[in-house]
Amino acid sequence: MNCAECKEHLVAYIEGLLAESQKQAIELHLKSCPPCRAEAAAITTLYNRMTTNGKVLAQTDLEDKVLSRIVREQNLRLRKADNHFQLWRKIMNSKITKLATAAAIIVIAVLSITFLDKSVTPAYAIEQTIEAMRSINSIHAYCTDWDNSQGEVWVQIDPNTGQEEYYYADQGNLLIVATPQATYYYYKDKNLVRIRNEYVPASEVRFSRFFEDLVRWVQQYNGQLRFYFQFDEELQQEVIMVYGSIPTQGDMKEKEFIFRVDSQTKLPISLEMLK
Amino acid sequence: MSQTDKYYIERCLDGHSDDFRYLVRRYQTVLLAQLTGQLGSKDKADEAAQESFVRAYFNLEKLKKPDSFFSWLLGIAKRVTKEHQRNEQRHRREIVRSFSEKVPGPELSQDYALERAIAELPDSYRKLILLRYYGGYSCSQVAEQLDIPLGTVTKKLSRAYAVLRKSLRQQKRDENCEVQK
Repeated sequence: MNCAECKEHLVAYIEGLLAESQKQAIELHLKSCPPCRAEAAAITTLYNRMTTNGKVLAQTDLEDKVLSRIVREQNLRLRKADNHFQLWRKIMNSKITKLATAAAIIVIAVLSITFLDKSVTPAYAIEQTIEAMRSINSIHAYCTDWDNSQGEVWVQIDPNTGQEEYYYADQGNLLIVATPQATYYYYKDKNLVRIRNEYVPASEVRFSRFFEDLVRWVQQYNGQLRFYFQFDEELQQEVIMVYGSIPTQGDMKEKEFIFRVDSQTKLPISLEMLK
Repeated sequence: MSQTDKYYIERCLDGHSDDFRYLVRRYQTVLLAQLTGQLGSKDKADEAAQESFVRAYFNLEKLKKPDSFFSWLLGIAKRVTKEHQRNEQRHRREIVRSFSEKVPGPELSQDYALERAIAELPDSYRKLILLRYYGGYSCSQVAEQLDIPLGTVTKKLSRAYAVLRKSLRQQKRDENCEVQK
């Protein structure tokens, strides 16, 4: 064995990975070659130095510290979610940013709405939409996210609280079915179902109170709401356009959105975030 | 503790957050070795390692390949390190501005020279060294974890040793120059 061959196998030799014959060949060479012997000693020294250092560092135990930080952070996040500002941001990030077609909203509850007489009321009465939305107990919506990914969601709502109770959401590869007892995630590509024994909310948005929450935020952040009537070519009917804007708030950039509201049922047909 | 990373990640995603402790146990020394070399002191590395693990936990859903948890975790630790270093620089500048005094250097760890040399290694060598000496992996386990042949592991280790020794020699020379000055 020459020096080049010896050097090539030196690490494997020190690690004890060589076959007996190769091991003996290396040992024979080391006996007769001082430079290679020095090289082997240097590697062994480094090897021992790292092993010792590893043992010192291994004395630290981060498990409990990390776990308690996770719990703390989780609690903090839950508290933050109660904050309106955060809620607004979550709406902006939510999949439910566009309720696509008129047929997409199915109202099971009977609506008692006085038709708005344009000749008498120049401005659009927001209260009627708020009232109409409060009576919703089931929503079927098609959603488009910022990245143009499509989704579909069915939600059953508790009319008293405005909170979702059950939902079914199809987000392409992932299908979620949630009941008050459990949430089921079906990953279509892996053909895998994951079950969590709790209700995992689909969104921080209160569907049936969405419009009124939004109106409240607009007021809270000194925003503006403007209304006008427009004939919608796609729906072949007149719709109420509600244009809203909120000026820049701290680290939140200005927001603009348009609600299209069905002039008969007073229910929102679509919501588009412009900014 | 013999389960795969993927197993524990799926458990965490299923709501068993306590199982994250096994991943912490598996990679804490590796992470500390990397961070101590970069941040200089054991306490800072400790803090940054905790921060990296917590961030990893809250982003587990985003990890597309659970088998590459280790590399992904190192990436997170790298970002955390940069943030810590930036904060520290800012903090130092403030101290200098307010007191016009020389800022004391960080309290060094037990073998800072070695840790610094490891931190300066190219990524592919560093991963090997970290797993082998700080993660308690054997060479064949390293090969499996990084999905490379065993022969490549020993060859790369050999090159990594050469780079480490050179770096340690350089550090020593710099120290001597410093003393002579």
